[in-house]
Amino acid sequence: MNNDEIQLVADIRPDAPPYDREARNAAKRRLVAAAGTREPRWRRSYTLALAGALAVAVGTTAVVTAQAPGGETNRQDGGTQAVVALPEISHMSAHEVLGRAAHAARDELDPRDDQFVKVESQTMYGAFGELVTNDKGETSPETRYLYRTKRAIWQSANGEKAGVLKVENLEPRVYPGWPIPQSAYKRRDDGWTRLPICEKPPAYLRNDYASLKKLPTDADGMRAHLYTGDRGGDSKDEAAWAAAGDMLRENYVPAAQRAALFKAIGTIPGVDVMENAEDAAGRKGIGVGRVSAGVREDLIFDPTTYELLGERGVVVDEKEAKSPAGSLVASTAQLSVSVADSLPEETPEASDGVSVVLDGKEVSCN
Amino acid sequence: MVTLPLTHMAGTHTPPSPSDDAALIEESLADPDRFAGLFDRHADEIYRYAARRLDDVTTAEDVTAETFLVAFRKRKRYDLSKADARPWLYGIASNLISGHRRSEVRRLKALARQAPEPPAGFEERSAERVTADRLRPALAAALTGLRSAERDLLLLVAWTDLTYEKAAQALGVPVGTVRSRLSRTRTKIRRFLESHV
Repeated sequence: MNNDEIQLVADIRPDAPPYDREARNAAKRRLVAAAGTREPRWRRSYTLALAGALAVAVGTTAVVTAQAPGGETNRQDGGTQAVVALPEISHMSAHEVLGRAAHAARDELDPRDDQFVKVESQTMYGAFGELVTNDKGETSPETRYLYRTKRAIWQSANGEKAGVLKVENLEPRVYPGWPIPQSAYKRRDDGWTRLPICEKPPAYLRNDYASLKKLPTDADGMRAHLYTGDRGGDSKDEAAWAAAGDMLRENYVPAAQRAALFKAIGTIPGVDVMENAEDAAGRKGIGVGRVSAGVREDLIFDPTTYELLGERGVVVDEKEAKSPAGSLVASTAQLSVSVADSLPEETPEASDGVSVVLDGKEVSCN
Repeated sequence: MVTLPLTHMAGTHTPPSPSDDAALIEESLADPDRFAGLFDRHADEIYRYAARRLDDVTTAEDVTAETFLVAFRKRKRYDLSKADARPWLYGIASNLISGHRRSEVRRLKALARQAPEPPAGFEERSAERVTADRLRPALAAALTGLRSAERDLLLLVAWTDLTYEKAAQALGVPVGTVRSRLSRTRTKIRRFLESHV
């Protein structure tokens, strides 16, 4: 036998049948779904989750987030650390403060089903890179930085049409106690991302204006809504808190539901209030928040209309948060909320569609 | 549904591709969605490998999908000094294929029965190729009789374009082990052919 056995085996290599396109798409969807279902370090809105899942091909970072200040009054160089006074928690009970509830005087928006809710905001959230150890035992360090964006989002008022998200990255900032990694300057999610509509999302997860308008207008009813269904999270209370944030963030909640929601949030165990919480634009409002992983996270409300002004995160437990107490690690401001008749012309075309996992079920979106 | 490639999703903005797989895997640590880029690059190649080794297309499709899911979960342990992730993916796929022993055996039996190449191309075919065709049933039987680790290595070397070094990476063994294992495997095959042809 003078033929090399390896060559003989190579010579009988069978042809591979073509990779079925549908099977290939399904495999990729499973991978994308797996990448999108990780546990968030900080609350992650439904919108963000969806945008992240979609953005696979584009590299929209769906890393976790916490917001920090972006207002001109707070502007600092990338290399400096943002530190604020520790929050003074109100002695009033949450229920007491929240009981002042909103009877909004301002002109309320009332988008028609065929219109879009447009929200412009500025955000600062923490981006967390994980500790990596390779097979040789070499480690590359855990990283943190605060990434900042200007965002505008358009979402269908009745949730039946795709929306769009425009992101402009701003200079990153130091996450106090952590050097800024090079990767902070290489974010690639600038630009326009289509936000597809998923087929038949569970009703309780819908946050479009038309759906919100049908929600209860009393605190008890709204509280029950926040505790409905499997919303993930470590506890039902955490999930209810996250659900409230998801309803408010980059969105418009009708006045009656807004008041109910505001009161309902105050009944979530662990939630309390602080007066004069400042958002990323320097506006002061009522902070309603809870502590998670050593960071106090607040939703900041306009004291008269109870609209969401923004969010902020401040380190209160240095050891747990691995950052000095008082560090501002999240700050956002919703700068404008308006109604648009149509999507901007920059909105990307629909594509093949993707699948995401909602409520434990894979649903396709387009 | 309108069919545009996924890459059109972001409209005007297309991210630059990282220069190598390791960079992409590193990015996926902070941004898991980036990992889908690895699928785009290598899914077809891994599928071909699985489809050659397994009897039914569905199993090959499952192995391919599972390979990337396993890789995604293990990505933190990827050796970022290795720019080419294919050996790693082939290694995972090989492990998964080993879990489908019956499908593998059916594949090799089918290979043994496979008709020789059509005569039209006969003139161009090398003498070795003709020999291989003649030996096909016995070769397939010899492959069936190998130990799983031997078959994995032999088919990685013979049916993919991995070098010995990369095959060693795929199987997580030193390249010296690859050489000695291949040498033993060749001897086994030679003896099998001598006694069966």
